[in-house]
Amino acid sequence: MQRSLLALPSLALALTGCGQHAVEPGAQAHAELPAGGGLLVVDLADGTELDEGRAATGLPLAWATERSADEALAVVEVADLDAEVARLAGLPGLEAVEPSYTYEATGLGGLLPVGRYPDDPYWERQWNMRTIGAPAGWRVGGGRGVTVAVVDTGVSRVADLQGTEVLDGVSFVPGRRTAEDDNGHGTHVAGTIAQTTHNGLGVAGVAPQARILPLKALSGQGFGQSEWIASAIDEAVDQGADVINLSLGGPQSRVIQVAVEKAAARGVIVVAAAGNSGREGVGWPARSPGAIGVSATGPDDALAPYSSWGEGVDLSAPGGDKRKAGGGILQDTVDAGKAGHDFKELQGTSMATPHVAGAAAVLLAAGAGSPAEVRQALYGSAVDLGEPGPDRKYGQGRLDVAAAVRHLLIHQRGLLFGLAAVGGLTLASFGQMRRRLLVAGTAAVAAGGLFFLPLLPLPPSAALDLLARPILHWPGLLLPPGWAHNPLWLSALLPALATFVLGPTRSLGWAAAGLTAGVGVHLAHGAFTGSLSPTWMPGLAGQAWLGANALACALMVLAVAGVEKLRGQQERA
Amino acid sequence: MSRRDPEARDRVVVGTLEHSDLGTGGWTLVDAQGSRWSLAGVVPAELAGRRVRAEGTERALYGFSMSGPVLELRSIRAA
Repeated sequence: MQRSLLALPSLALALTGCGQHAVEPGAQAHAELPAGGGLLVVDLADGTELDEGRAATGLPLAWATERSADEALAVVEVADLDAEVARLAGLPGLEAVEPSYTYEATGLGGLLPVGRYPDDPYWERQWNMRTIGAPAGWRVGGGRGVTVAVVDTGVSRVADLQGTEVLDGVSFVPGRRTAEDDNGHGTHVAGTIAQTTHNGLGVAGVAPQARILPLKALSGQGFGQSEWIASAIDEAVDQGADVINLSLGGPQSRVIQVAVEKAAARGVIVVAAAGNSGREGVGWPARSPGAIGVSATGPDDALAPYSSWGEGVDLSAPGGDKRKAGGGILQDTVDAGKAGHDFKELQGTSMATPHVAGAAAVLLAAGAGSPAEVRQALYGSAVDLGEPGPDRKYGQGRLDVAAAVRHLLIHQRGLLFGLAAVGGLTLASFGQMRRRLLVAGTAAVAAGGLFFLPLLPLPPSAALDLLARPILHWPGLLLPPGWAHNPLWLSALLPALATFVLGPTRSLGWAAAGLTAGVGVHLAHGAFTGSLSPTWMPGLAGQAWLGANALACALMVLAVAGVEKLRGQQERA
Repeated sequence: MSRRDPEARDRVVVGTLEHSDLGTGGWTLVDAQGSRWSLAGVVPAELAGRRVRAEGTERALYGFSMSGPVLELRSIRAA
């Protein structure tokens, strides 16, 4: 494998690179795929002899380097890289197959990786991901830290899910001890949600950084009893899932409906398929008020001929239309009864549903504070199709992840940015204009982050995501899970430290005042809207905590302003 | 899948056997009224496209086919 790497040890670099390439730590890299033919890297199972590898692949392999025999890493020149990758992908005895990439260090300290993004070779065939603007979701974290339960036929860790976090699943199907997929449906659905993206293999997913919780509630033939489904939904809630994907349906069932409503009441977003009857009449549980019901569209943005429609459709999303060449939804999955994996085009409202589940994960990771805020962003940004306004075929419209992210960034972070800027200007009614602007600017960035950065067509990177976030979101990105909502961080502690440590120094003191004002505005916003939720403090207790700390921030800024006023009077006297 | 099910009813359905291309696929029986039945059980592939007589139990099952009621097969043969 040919690599030219520049080691650029900087914080930005360390933070960058949400892709899953095996790149040396501390270096941001991008891959250039050779067009057509080129060098193919074949990673054989350890211990494989070269002759065995040649026989298995039918290619004149050579070891990649003199020392590659130990790792059984071989290379070969081929005429059509994509075709060979596809042909070899499922072969037993192969650990990985991919084109040889040339890695190059990138400009601006890794903030702006250049080159093709994503580099998944079948990205061009994913009309669905382009239609919904999936890359915008990758710029705001791609669902990082969010758990999506897939209640389905199970999920198998196929090659293009290797870089995705897949939790240990649970099976509710009698006779099946694990949540391995013995059909292929659930793995395909999980792929739409969180397929490993920008890994030089296969296809992309909507929220590749989300973690998948496989819950097997459908048999290998694709059928399940109501109590299996209901138990799986309960399990998802118990395991702390944030989103539940139900690409299944059937007759009305009280136990399933209770489970769905209970999940919704616990703040879990439930997304369900409208059904494949091709007629009016949405199935259950999609019709439950607690579920987001999803109908299916084709590549032409028309309702797919098989899609059910009617009361209960809240949104539509690409589900594919195989009457058109390349019109299905392409993801990696298993072929029931066979070894290996396969990139398959499927269609159905089953395929539409995980687009919405992935979008919900993206919005939660981007800072949406509640299911209501997620629904607002999804519904308020959907592309209106069919009759003007909400209708029975497309619901609020066709899912648009890019517009939903824009909606959230502007309505939440943009609002905070503006409020903090105004607040900072007002409170800092001291000193010169330059100082006021410093206070207001710091306040705005602390409260809203550089919220407009993800709106620019830049490749995703962790540094970009961090800079675009309010400071109160930072622990979610930098610290282990559990710290994101720690009450000590969601408090006036950091502003107080900044004020007392930096306060006495004049210029940094202004910045500390700005930080205090910005954090105060965000805490106040969190108290009023529920967009911040400190752990161990449910409901009113959390709101009271946020409100009290917001007040403390305001008092600190007023105190700084007062001190400054006195100092000014003394200087004049 | 033969547990208690108050909705379960024995049925004989005659119609055309189709292989559905929804999700990962499955067998569908389209009866004279145009109703689509999802078939649970073993279906011989050589019956595809033919007129068949299916005997089984109508079950309140869930699945990814979502295109009609589910018939759990006891037997299926060319009609």
